[in-house]
Amino acid sequence: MLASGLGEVGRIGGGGLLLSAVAIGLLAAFRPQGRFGRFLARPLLPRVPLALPLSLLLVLLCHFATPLGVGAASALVILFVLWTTREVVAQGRAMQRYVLRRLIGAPVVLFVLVTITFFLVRLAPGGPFDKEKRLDPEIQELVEEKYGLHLPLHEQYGRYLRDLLWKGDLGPSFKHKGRTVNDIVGDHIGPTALLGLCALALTLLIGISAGLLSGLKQNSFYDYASMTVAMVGLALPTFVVGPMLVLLFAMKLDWFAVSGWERFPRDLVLPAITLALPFAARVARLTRAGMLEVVNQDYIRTARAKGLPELTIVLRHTLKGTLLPVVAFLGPGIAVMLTGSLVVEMIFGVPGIGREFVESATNRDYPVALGLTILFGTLILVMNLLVDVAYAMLDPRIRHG
Amino acid sequence: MDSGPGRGQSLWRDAWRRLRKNRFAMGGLIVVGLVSALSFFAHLLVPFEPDYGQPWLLANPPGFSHPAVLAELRFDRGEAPVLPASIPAPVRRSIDGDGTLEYLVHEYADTEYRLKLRKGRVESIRRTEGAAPVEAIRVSGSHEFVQRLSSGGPVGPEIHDVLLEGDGALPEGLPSDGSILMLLVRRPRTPEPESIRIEISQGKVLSIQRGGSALDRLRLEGRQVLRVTKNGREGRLTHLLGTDLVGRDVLSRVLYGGRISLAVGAIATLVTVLVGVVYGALAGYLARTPLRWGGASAFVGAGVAGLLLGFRAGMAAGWMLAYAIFASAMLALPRMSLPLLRRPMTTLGEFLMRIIDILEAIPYMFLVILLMISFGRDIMTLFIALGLVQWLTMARIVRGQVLSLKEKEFIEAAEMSGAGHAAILFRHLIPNTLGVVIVYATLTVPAIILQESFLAFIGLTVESGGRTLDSWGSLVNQGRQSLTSSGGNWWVLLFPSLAMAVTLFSLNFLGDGLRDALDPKLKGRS
Amino acid sequence: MRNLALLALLAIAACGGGDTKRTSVASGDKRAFLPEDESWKSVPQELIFNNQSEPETLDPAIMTGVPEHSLALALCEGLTSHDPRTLEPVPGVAERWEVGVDGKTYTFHLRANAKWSNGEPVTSQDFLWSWYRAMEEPDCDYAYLFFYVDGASAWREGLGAAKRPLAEFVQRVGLEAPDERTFVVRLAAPCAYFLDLCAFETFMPVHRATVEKHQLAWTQHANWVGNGPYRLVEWSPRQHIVMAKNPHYWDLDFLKLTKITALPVDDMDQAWNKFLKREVHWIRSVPSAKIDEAKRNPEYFVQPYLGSYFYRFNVKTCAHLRDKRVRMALSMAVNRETITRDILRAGQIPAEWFCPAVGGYEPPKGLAYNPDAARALLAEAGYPGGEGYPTLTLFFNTQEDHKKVAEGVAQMWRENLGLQVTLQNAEWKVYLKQVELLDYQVARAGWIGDFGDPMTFLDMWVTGGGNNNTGWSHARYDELIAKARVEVDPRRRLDYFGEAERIVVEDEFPILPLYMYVNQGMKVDRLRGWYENIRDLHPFQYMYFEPE
Repeated sequence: MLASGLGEVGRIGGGGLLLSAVAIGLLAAFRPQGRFGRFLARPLLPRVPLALPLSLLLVLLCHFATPLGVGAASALVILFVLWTTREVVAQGRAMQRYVLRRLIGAPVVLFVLVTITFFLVRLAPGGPFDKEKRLDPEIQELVEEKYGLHLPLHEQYGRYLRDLLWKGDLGPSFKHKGRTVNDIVGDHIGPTALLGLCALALTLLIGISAGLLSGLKQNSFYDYASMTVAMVGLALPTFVVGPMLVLLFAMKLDWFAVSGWERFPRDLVLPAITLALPFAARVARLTRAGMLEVVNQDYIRTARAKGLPELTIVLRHTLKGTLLPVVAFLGPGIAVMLTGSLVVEMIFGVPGIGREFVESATNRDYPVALGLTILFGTLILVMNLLVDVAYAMLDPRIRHG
Repeated sequence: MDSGPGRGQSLWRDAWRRLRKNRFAMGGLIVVGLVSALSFFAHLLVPFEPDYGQPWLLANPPGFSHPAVLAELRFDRGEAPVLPASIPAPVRRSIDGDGTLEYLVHEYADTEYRLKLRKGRVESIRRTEGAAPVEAIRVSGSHEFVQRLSSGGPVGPEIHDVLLEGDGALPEGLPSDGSILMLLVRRPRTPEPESIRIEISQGKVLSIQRGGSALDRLRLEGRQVLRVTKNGREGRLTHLLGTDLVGRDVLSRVLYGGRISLAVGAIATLVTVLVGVVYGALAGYLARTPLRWGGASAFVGAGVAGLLLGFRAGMAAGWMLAYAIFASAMLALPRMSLPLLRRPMTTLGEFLMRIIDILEAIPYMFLVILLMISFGRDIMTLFIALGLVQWLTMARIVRGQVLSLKEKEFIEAAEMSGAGHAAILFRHLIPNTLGVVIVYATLTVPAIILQESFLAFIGLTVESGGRTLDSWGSLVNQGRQSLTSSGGNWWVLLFPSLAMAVTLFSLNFLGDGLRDALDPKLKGRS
Repeated sequence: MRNLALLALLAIAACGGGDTKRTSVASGDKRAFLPEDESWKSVPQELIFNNQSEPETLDPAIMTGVPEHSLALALCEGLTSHDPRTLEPVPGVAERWEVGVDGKTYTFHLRANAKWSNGEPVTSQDFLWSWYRAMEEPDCDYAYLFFYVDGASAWREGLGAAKRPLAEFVQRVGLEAPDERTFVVRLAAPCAYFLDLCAFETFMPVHRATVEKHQLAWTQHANWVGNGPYRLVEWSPRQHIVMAKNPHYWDLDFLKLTKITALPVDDMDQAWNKFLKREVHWIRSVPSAKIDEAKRNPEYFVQPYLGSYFYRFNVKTCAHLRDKRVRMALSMAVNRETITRDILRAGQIPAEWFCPAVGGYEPPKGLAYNPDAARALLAEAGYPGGEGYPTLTLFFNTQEDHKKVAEGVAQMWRENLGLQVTLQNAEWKVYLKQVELLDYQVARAGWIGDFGDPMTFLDMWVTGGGNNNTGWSHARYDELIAKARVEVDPRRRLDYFGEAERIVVEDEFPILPLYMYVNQGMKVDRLRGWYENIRDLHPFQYMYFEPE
């Protein structure tokens, strides 16, 4: 199945691999003359982050679940981490201290997040065991006791933290009997991750290239056309665009299934496009704006006068400045994409994690709500950190935050 | 050297000139203004309330018109005609007041049946409603008839004088292939439509004439009225954009929906601006002010103590304890001579930004959903919840602005002339951030409108006083559900989507234009 | 027209009752359900259907919902099971049984060849242990159905955090397993529908070793062991549930479907689209926008369902609803036909009564729509033309259909009685809590019957009943229900029910009946062995596909 591919990567000890990648990167940075240092300094590698979305898409299309796909994907991720670590360290003390501070601050942030959510979820009236066919109050008490809900709040909180930190156990689900939160995360994170990655790749690919072209050919027909399409993508909600696409491509043209997550990659296409559309639109506009700012500068005109081919100009000179706003957008953008994925998951029947999240609020399934909040929060923190680091590297002005 | 406020005024004028030149932005401004005006004056433009609907009308395409009647018409001789409180003016006009009221009705009873066929003969007959089995269908007389029903409605010839029963043959005109046959049986009361005349005088019904005989009371189903005239003037209701599945006028729903969407967008943005600007300005202004260990621990300690007490004895007690601890700590600390407490931990600005980091990590939609569930679906809760989600970005932006503004000469001048912190903040710094703020506010409104539509999609629509207030997002959601497989009822989806898309377009164009106009250097930052 | 509907309902329902005085019964005759010829063997027999939502659990002892129950019909089998057409209890794991003359002792004789999906035989000890486990499990919401068994009620009351031993259970509760193939049940009082209950999910056996080893995780497909006609092959949450023939099932030759896939799509539009594209063979709902289209489609089905939709009146704490004339007026001012015909349009049955016609029962007619009489009553109660009557709040849980109905009813009250009405809705859990705490004036309610007997509906309104939630109390009503509980003569029993319901729907009106549920959906024509019945129960062993 689709989920198992990603799940296996995780289970094979992705954590261990990542850690070793970080270690190698550090080593390379502090010993630039050593074996690792010279390897990582090769000019090939800086292109990696740019090639990332392209290669992700390629890997995904080549059937992610095969060993080849998994291997290729993990190789890319590791390379990325290696390169990032080395770059960050090589930037100097200020950057190192900045990153270190963020890394140290992250657990604190998570702790506060968990605490806030813990108490917030219990604020809502109604408990997880309220049903239409009323239970005997004694039986209800017993059930609540079974799940520890009879203890005073701070005791419940303490128990939860202890289970979380000592055993990594996120608790049982109150609604789905017999399944733990860890089970739920394991079962459902795969589709969401796959969908998100695919949408991200599509966003960057389509958005950046469309924006670049628009910027280069400002005020041409192509420019107006693509910007209008982008506007439409921004102005219509996902739950309208999605079913429209289904109506057209699945019902009338019969190219895809109406919903489901069975055949790969056919069932991936429509949801990924629906999810990517608004973000691709925004990225396109941002890229275009950034492009316009850069393209009229003197040094570009000089390069043009020198007769350099357009593509080289674009790739080598303008890209960095252009991508600045895109990178700045990515941080919060990815967080939004996670929520957007909920709608897409609902419309296309993708068995992902967004659905569980929202339902846990309506079902008052406290452990699931908490567990998923931690998950999302961590994800958002990591993405924000990566994005801030990338931004700082691209724009020396902001280094000292 | 220009003083602060004076410089600001000419900046605005410059910006306005630049904005005027941007055609897209001006177009956007005009459209937004127009849409807002239309929504605001909706009650003057359309005769319908957005939730007034006659269910029997069902969905009808744009331009549909029908007689102006109630679902049930009741007239008793000697009494005033029954007139409910809130009905559209044309309907009221068609009944109220003295004069002659004339109805052209064709009363009938319709029943739908499902016939199971086997080898060209009838196997069983059931009424569609209630799936109740029926022994036979008997239709006789020149005006009763049986007609085949297809998915588009009645088709084929009207067949009179039939008897359909189990294991019976099918009459000519009805197809005998297939296994199921849907039939409509209509039994009109009279062969032809008849005219009913009601005289009203001094507000009371004087006489009721039906087909030549006088009646004492009359009960009519509005759906069966073909025409109504009052004093010779025909009363008709026209729905310019059609009706939705329960017979509500689409145009009025779109206009009233605009009120909700725009109000939510505007007010939530206001919340965002208020909270974000103040917080961001503070964070920027206090970027260098040290936060000492003493102060920080007092703050945290007060918070924790207040929280614990709050769970035991209620929020008020908690707040009071927290405040008491913090205040006394802040008073006592300068007198204490522990050097450890004086050591700066970080700056206040940094601390405020850390809080933003933490809040940003909370998946915000989850938060909004939780808030809606906990505090009810009141529109006020929605304003606050949605506004609270966006203020983080606004705060960051304002902080960035303030950081760069702090170094400017006019601030130094103000400081040297002895202005207090509050004055500098509110009279000099914040007004100069307004440009950026306005730009991002204009761009926040569409984001909020889209987020509200997402909430409508998952069922958390806005309520007020028990009535659902349908915003554009909610209408779009309903429209999508009303769409049939062959694209029927398209108007229920198209018009709200159009309204929403056009407005969001315009807001985006306007925001872009404002950004270009107010500070060309801001291009590319989002 | 109304009478015709009533007669028709009786006709259907009359087939649903069973003879309670049987002393012995032969094996259920399944020959009537065999396909006419062998042509079905030439087409693939794989069913894909939409089960509407992801099941909370597949453990029959703790499941409560309809989607879960549908799956339990395939995966587990109790002492009895249902005849797919009449819903009569037919032999399941028990091939025959004897009922004592006093109606209190049931002796079941289990089949020799009944086996679990891992080949082990199903014994009476399995039933004993499973019923014990259900009664010891606080999560078992339907434990109260066991209370007909002698001593079960007292046993359940003593439920505590610590688990009591099986030996003690056997001593105190009237269940016995004298040998591997005999299971004896002693009831506290005769129960007319006990055999029907034995087919219910809570009474289905679970495999002791598996449950003891894996606890609640025994339902994961890697661990699953069950005794139903089909076994669990795969359960991918929110994706699908796949079942295949249980190779050890005692009637393996009768099974025709080789593979069953259940999908959890709860978006009705999505399910509809999938059906049109033939990605599923059977869906259990139709989106309201597509109803007109569906009704004219030969693959549409609509059947009365064992459920009642009504409004509760808070007679306890709401002062202006205490006068029963007001309640009667409110009920008579509602035109139920308009609501079902124009607003809901799915063929629901407008009803001025509360309990569906089931088990041979004839519900009373109730009081018909009569706005003039309603107005007169309201005036008599002291509120002529609605003057002086405080604003009424109509409360319901958030859902489009409930809102439409509430708006319709509110409109009728405004127009017919001149009252002021506001609507209030809340999210499901909040709604449940508020209704429980009697924090409402008029609240929407729905009730689905658990078994084929009026008791499951009419015992709601006894004083202090757990699901009463209106504060209504009536001595004669309590008396009638108590009598019906122990009455052996079926005729007299149904008379008690009739009299009791007349108190509710013709005199006192603690509730406002609105309509009877219907079940609607779409099913491909060539799926056979699927019969419409009032409880929407479709045992999979009878189904097969015919060629086009």
